[in-house]
Amino acid sequence: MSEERINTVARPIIYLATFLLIGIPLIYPVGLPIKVSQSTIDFYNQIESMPEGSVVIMNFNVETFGWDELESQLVSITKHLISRPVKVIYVSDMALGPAFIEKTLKMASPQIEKHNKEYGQDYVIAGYLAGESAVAAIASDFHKLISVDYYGHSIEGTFLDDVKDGSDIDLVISVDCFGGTSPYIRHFYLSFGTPILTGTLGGGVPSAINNVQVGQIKSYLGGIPGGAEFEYLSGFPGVGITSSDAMTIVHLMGIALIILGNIVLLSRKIGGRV
Amino acid sequence: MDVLVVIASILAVISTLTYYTTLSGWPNPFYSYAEYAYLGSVMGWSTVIALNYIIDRGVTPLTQGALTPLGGLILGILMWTRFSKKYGYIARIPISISVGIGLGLTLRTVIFSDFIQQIQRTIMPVWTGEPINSFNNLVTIVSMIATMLFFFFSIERKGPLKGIAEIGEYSIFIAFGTYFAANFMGRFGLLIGRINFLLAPDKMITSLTVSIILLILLILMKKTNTLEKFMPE
Repeated sequence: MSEERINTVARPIIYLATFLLIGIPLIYPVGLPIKVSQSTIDFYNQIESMPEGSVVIMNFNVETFGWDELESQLVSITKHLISRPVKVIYVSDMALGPAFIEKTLKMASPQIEKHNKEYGQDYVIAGYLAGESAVAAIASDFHKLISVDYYGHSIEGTFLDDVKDGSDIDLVISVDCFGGTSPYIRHFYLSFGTPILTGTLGGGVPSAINNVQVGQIKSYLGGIPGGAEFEYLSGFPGVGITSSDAMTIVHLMGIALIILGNIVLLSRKIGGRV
Repeated sequence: MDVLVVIASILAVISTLTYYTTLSGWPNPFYSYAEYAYLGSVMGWSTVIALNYIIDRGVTPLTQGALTPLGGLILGILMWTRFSKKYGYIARIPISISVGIGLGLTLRTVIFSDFIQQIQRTIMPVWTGEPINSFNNLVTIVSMIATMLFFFFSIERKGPLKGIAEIGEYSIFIAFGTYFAANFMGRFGLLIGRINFLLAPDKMITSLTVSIILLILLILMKKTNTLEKFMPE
C-alpha cells in the first residue's frame, strides 16, 4: 500500500476513533481513579493557608481557544476562593479575559450566594490590564491605574481602598494561555515576595515545573488533569473530572499510534523502502 | 431558558462543527465563513474592550483632574499619524517610547527572574541523602553543562568535548519530547473540551443534526464541484 493511500485511509479512521474514544467516556463515564499530584496538593494548601482578609489577585490570561482546557481550573479555583474568607481582585491581561471572568463568576454564583459574598466587599472585577506595563503600574501604585472597575463604577468604598500597592497583595493566581504569570513574577514576586500560583495549558507544564524548581512560583495546575485533581481535592466536581476518563483513554490511543507509526517506519527501513 | 442563550448556543455548535469541516481535507466555504466570523467577532470585542480601557484608565481620571494619563493619551493620539503619508514619521515617537518603557520594565527584573535565579537553581548538592533527589540533581547539572557545551562553537568538537556535546544533544531531544508530550496533552485537552460542549445534553441533538447536514452538504458540493464556487474571495 502506498504512503498516500495509507494516509487517505488512516486519517478518517484516526479522526473517528479519536471522536469515539473521547465521546463515549464523556457520555458513559468509566470512573477511572484520579490520583492527586503533589503540585495540586501544594496549590490547594497555599490557598487554604491564606489568613482571613487576605487579598488575592486572580488573573485570567484566557483566550477563546484556551477556555475548554482551562475551564475546570478557572471554575474550581474561583469556587474555592469564594469558599475561603479572602478578598479577590479579578483581572485579565487578555482583551477577551473579562468575558471569561463574568462567565466563571456566573458558574460560581451558587457558591457566591451560599457564602454571602458581596461585590465590592469580597470581590471586584478590575477588568482588563493592558500588558506588563499595567501589571507594573498596579504593583507600584494600584489606584493610579485603577480608579473604576470593569463596569466603570468607582472603586471607592470597596475593599480596594486598603490596597495601595503590591505589598498589600497576599497571593497572585494566574491561569494562563500565553505566559501571563511572568509579569507577576517580575513585578510582584521579585519586588514584594508575593507568593504566586499558576494554572497552565498542557503545553505550559514544563515551564511551570521549572518556575516551581527555581522558587518563583509556589505550585501549578497543568491542563485538564490539573483541573480535575483540583476539583476533586476542593470538593467542587465539574467538567475536569468528567473529562479525565476521556483524557486517559485518548492518551493511550496516542501512545499506541506513536508506537504503531514507529513500527511501520522501522519495517519500511528494514525493507529498504525509506 | 432565555431565547438569546438558546440561539447563542446553536450558533456556537454550528461554528464549532463548521470549523471541523477542515478535517475533510477539502478547502470549503463553511470553514472559511466560520474563520471570518471568528476573526470579526474577536476584533469587535477587542476593540470595545480597548476603547473602554482608554476611557476608564485615561479619559475618566483626566476629567477628574488627574494629569498623569495626559502624556499617554497624547502619545496614543500621535500613533494615528501612521495613516498620514505626510506626518507618518511622527508615529515613530510613541512607538519608540513604548518600546523603551517596555524594555526598561522587563530588563529591570528579567535579569533576576530569567538569568540569575535560573543559574542559582543549578548550584545544588550532588548528594542530598536521598537517592532520587540526588539523581535528579545530577541529571540537572550534567544536562545543563552538556547542553551549554553543545552550543559552544569556538573550539572544534573532538575528544571529550564531542562526547559531552552529544550528551547535550540528547538532553535537548529529551526536552523536546517533554514539550511534545505536554503539547499533545494540551491539544487533546482542547478537543475534549469542545466535544464535551457538543455532547452536552442540551446540545446533543443540535450537534447531531448540524453534523449530518454539513456532511451531506460537503459531499454534495464536492460531487458537483461547487466547493470552490462558494469560497469567499
